[in-house]
Amino acid sequence: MPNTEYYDDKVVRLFLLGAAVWGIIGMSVGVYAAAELMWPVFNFDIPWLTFSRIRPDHTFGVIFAFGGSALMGTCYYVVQRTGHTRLALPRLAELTFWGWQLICVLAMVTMPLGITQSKEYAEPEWFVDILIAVVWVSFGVVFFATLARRRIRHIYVANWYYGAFIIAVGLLHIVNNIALPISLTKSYPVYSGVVDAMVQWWYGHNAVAFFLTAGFLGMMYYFVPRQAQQPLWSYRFSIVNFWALISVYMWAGSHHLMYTALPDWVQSVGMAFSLILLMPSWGSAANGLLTFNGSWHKLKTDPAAKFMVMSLVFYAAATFEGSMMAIKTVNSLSHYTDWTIAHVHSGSIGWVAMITIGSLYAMAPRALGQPEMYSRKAMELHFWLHIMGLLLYIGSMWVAGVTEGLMWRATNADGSLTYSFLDSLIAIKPMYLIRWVGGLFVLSGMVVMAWNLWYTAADARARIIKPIPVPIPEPEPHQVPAPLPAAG
Amino acid sequence: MSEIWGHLTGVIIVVIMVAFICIWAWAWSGHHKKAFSRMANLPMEDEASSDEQTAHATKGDTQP
Repeated sequence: MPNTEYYDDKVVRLFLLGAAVWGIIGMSVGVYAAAELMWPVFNFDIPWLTFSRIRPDHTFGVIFAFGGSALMGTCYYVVQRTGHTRLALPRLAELTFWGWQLICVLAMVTMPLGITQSKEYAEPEWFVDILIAVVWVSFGVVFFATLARRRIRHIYVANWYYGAFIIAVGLLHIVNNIALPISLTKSYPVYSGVVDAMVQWWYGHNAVAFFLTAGFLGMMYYFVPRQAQQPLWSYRFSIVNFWALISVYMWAGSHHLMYTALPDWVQSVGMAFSLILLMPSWGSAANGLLTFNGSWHKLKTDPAAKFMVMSLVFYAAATFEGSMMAIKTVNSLSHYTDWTIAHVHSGSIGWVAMITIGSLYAMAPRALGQPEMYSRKAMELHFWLHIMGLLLYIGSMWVAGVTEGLMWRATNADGSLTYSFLDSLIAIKPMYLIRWVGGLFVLSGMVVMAWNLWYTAADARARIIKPIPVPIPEPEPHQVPAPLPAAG
Repeated sequence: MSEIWGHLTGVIIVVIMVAFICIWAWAWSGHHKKAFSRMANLPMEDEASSDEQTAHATKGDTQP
């Protein structure tokens, strides 16, 4: 019986919806937390509404709920297109969607209630961690089973990044969350003291490396050439960058623990690897930007391309800044100040959010059965809201961070501190207002995107989308069994 | 630092450098040129086919 194979985009559409919704939720919590720093009265003396309780909701919401949904959705999309095959195990793939959403809801509800491991970016308690491990392994099974049935022999570089992202995040998550539960809502990690700190920041930094970098580079290596309509500038350079990035990143985590009880030589190792890391980071950024050679005119008309180009600029900027901040002398000024917050948001609002938004704008019409997004003007508006918000945010936090750093280290002739902590807090208060306004801009942009996606998804909501057939070229599309593998 | 530790770090550095050079050599070998240029073009293949596009051209509710 002839059997045409179709791409399985249903789960991609679900994750697209998930990303749009979680983006708004995660960033709303961020804006609210920023408002609390400016006007502390906003916590209303309600424990679960205090900054300390909702801050993990913001980070988990944007990184794992928004970023995670976007990563898993694009990953399922890209692995099918670059392998000319439909998803293996489509029901398991759909289960990863519902499982991931359940995890996000559970985490976002339990953390403000104080049910937390108090490990940064790994706050959810043991029962959520087990769910994460199960869903993550299922995600890996779907991904690698799909790779196994690809019809193009060589595995496209985006999949290498997605694969590294899946394997490394699974490893990091499981090792960092080994804990002994003493009740449903409380557990203790098996590590203690400085070892616990090192494991935590090995996890924390590599969450940046493999979740926020490798995963999004997977997105970048597929959607940038697609949007630029240019072949990747140098495919072989992308391979060298891949191996360099994944082998160097693992060792940089200790730069989060400078001037702590961690042995000095471990801090130095972290600093050295952080500096080396600049090369593969800039390699990928350059590869992406140079792919636009010959297509720069697209920036005039295509907001998705604008998002991508600016994301690569901020990727280069944030990785340069990160390497510099890992230098011990620079770190002595920047550590524990809002400069860190500026750096993180230059990476997250600049690089991660913009490559995600650009990729979603590139992928959504195709996944939703439309020739293009519902409103190009809304995309344009989103771009400017996002850029304005980003610049206000990081500009204000840079100023605040350097102000704090300089005020905290200032000493009088007799060795006493020139300023009290309160002095520095009063000095940066206007910056907290500007940061909140910047956050509002970024959030408004996300609402505009959700509106745009909603109307682009009209056919999907009416369930009248024609599935896209897998291109199985010669000799004809209806053949059983399918020709494996095709040339390439 | 003990002598063994010094030798160990030296060996690891050499092994990693050799691995790095091998990756360059592998990526730049002419053997892969054809497959890589096909790969570099792969993302551009995800285009709506002409009949799909005509179906949409008649709808008119989308932006130009």
